[in-house]
Amino acid sequence: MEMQQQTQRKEVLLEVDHLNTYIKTEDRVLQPVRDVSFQVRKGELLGIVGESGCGKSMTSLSIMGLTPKNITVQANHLLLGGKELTKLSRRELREMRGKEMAMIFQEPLTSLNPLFTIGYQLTETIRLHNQVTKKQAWERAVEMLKHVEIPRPEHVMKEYPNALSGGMRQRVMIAIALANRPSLLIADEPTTALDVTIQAQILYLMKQLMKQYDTAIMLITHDLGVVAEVADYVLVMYAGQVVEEASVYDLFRRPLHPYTRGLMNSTIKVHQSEEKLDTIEGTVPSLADMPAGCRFNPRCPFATAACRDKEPPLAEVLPGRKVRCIRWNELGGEGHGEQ
Amino acid sequence: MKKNDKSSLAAAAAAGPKRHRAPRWLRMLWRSKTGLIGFVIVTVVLVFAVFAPWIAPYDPNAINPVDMLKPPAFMEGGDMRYLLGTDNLGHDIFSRIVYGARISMLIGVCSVVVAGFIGTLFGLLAGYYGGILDAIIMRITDAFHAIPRTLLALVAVSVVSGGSVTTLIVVIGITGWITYARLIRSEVLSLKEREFVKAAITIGTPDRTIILRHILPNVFSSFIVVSTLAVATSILAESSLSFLGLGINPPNISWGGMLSTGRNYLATNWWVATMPGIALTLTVLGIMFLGNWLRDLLDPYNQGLQ
Repeated sequence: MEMQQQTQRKEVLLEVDHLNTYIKTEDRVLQPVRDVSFQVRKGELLGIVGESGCGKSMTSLSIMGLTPKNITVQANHLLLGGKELTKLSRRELREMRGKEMAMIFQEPLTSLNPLFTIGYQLTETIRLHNQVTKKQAWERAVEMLKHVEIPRPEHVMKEYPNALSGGMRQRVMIAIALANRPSLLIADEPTTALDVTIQAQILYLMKQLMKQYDTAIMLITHDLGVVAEVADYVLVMYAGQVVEEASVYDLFRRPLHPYTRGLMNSTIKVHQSEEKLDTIEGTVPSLADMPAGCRFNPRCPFATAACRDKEPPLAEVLPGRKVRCIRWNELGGEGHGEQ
Repeated sequence: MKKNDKSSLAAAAAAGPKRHRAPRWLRMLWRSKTGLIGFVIVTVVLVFAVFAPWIAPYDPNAINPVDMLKPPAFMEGGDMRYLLGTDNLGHDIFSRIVYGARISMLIGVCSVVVAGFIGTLFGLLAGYYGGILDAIIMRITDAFHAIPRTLLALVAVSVVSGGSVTTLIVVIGITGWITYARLIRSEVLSLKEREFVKAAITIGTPDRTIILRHILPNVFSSFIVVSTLAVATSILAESSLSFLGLGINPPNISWGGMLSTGRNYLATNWWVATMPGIALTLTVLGIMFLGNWLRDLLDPYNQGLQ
């Protein structure tokens, strides 16, 4: 089964190789992202899951080249479509944004400039990377709004953002992000601020557009349900590191890392008989105070002396599956999670 | 319309589509009494400034030795020909106040344009780019801040051996830019973190476009409010300089200069100094009222309410 998943994967679009970020403070250097390596393949949806503060957003900002000034980004490679992002000038990087890679954020309510109409903002985006007339841009913009399933697009083009609901605005943001057909779309918690019913619509829309536009999506979320819904491949992050990587099918069928299992157990299940929800004890360790050995050991119910002693490597333990745990084989045996 | 607005508001709402409704700014103006007062005063002063030759009954510089130091018309011994009396050279004070509005408004508005332009430019640069540029610009504003503005203007005017309207505009403008630089910088700092600016960055918008399209229009309302108040401050600054003899020179007429003349006659002929003083006070007050009202009008939190 796992073999089969492996062979189906497509051409690599984004290659992240040993990404590290550093924050210099007065007395020491903190490392919010540590040795993160992964690939996003063409037309694939990669879900990145983890609790707040695990380095998900920092990873995506590093790819976009939008990290705050006090943060240093280092990587062996950050290759997007064969271009080394770390070696690009400010200007070249800016030209990549929108055209090759785009990003949508959590807050659709504030992601649009309140002073301009939807049409203006969308056509400006199109004209940014394309030599087209205003009229052509306008027509393409209407087309985009149709693609993101906005009713009466001609009418919405003339509206100001305050006239639209959160779901509608997120659709507009998706239209803006996809307007120049980027090959990679990074979506940072795109549905967190929306109603549950709207969430599903937006996720479905993104998945559909991904196929239509042949775009790869990096979906950052803390919600395993969202991942199960739309992701093809999943990266589980904890305290700045990748702790598990697998296809969505494998991951939910058999989570190998105790943290992944913990996350799954702390989601509500329909047939749950117990009153109390399982939780993972404790909190994500602070950057300034990382435990020795495995970073998850203080919260791990299965931690041993060996776990506290040495940091486990991220090892490919089964074909197409990587896990950062020395005891995965003893623990990952029984089936867990959703079917 | 005036009565209509309050009494039939509910009726109008019930009637559905807005018919014959005054624009929002007018309705808000009517509701705010101080705003209305400010609006009226500023309008009157502007009309004085623009149409001075048609409004003023006399040539403001016509010397009339026969009618020196006449009291205002409403006082005993007053002359109906001179509404607000005459000064020591027999100038009609009302005519001079009307002409004085020209200088006050001209210098007030133009120096604010100068200050606003310089301040906005530096504020945008400091706020958007941050780092060393920000540090330098902010230290310069600190340095400016440490010296009282009037003193700075005084020194500047004496250095360029002042007197001309242009000199005053430039000097008052240059000494006033720091308010803008600081205000705009702080607004930019918060706008920069707003999602729509970040979203614009992620689709590859160049810095120039982000500053001009996404940031500048969003600082506009604070800019307008501060500018209004700055006009009042500039008018006061001009009057102070003219009062001290370093501002507008005769034959140009300035309220500050009139005050300065009147000072010598305060004990015997109080109106010579008091009339331009009242004009100055009312104008500044009017502009302040208008500024406060504008702030309410442009406040986005107020947009939803009527």
